[in-house]
Amino acid sequence: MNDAHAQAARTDETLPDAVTTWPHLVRIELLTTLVAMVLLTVWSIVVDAPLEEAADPNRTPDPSKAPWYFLGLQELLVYFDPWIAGVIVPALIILGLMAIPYLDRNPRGSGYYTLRERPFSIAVFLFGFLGLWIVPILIGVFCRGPGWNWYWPWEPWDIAHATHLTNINLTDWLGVPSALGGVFVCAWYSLGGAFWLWRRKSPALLQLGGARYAVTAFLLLTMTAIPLKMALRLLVNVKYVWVTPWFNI
Amino acid sequence: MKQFLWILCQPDNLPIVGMVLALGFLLGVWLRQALRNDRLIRDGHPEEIEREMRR
Repeated sequence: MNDAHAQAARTDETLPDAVTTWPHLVRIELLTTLVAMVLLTVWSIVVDAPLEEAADPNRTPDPSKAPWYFLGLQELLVYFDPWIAGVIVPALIILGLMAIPYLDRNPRGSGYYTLRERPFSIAVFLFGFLGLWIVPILIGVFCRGPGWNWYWPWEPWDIAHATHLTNINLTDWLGVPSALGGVFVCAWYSLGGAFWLWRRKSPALLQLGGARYAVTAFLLLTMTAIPLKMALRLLVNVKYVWVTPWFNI
Repeated sequence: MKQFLWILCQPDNLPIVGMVLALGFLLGVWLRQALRNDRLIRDGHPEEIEREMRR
């Protein structure tokens, strides 16, 4: 049966250079695996694992940093409630990524690198991946020191000179009731509806449809709200925009 | 600067340094190929994209 597939591939005029998975691709993959295993084995023998001293329950490391792949989320804990930063945002990341094939209606730019064919998709992806994932990881690695205070990468971690910030909720800062925080959040998400009303006759939105647009707008507004909230916290020490007995945003 | 180098050389942070370097390299590869493909499409040779991928 494999010989028949090989013969069919060789006679296919649209695939003049076709070869079969077995043995060609499998051979390359096997060699690559063996080389990777040898390199890892040599590396693990030559370089000691970076183990620190035995854990001491009486001494908590400061700063206590998560592994690098969780540092982004640990950094988000500075700006958001643990429920939001630890549950809602990661869930939205996963659900949002899963939703991409159903939301993306652009048939162009599929299977090859391009900028002009898919500008919106590429911009959103780069914003999400670089701006919302890589940058918080880099902040967590280079800019967070003892007490999770902000230290510029070149500043020594001198806990004696750490400034203790006084954070204030947005509603307290503006002198309005805390329930108005919900109005701010609803106003933010209503921007999606306003954009729909403004551009509902455009070809892109007509192709997208109402349901896809609603999901896309919700995810995009949530993505853009994250750096906005981070800026509020870092620049003007705003802690929460909306405070409720059940969650804080 | 000493503090920055100390952070950079921490064993736990070496994967981050590697990741940033790999990210920069791969973004460069992507951008170069994307601009080339856009130029081919603009000049009316979209079939060249697939031919170059198969080369």
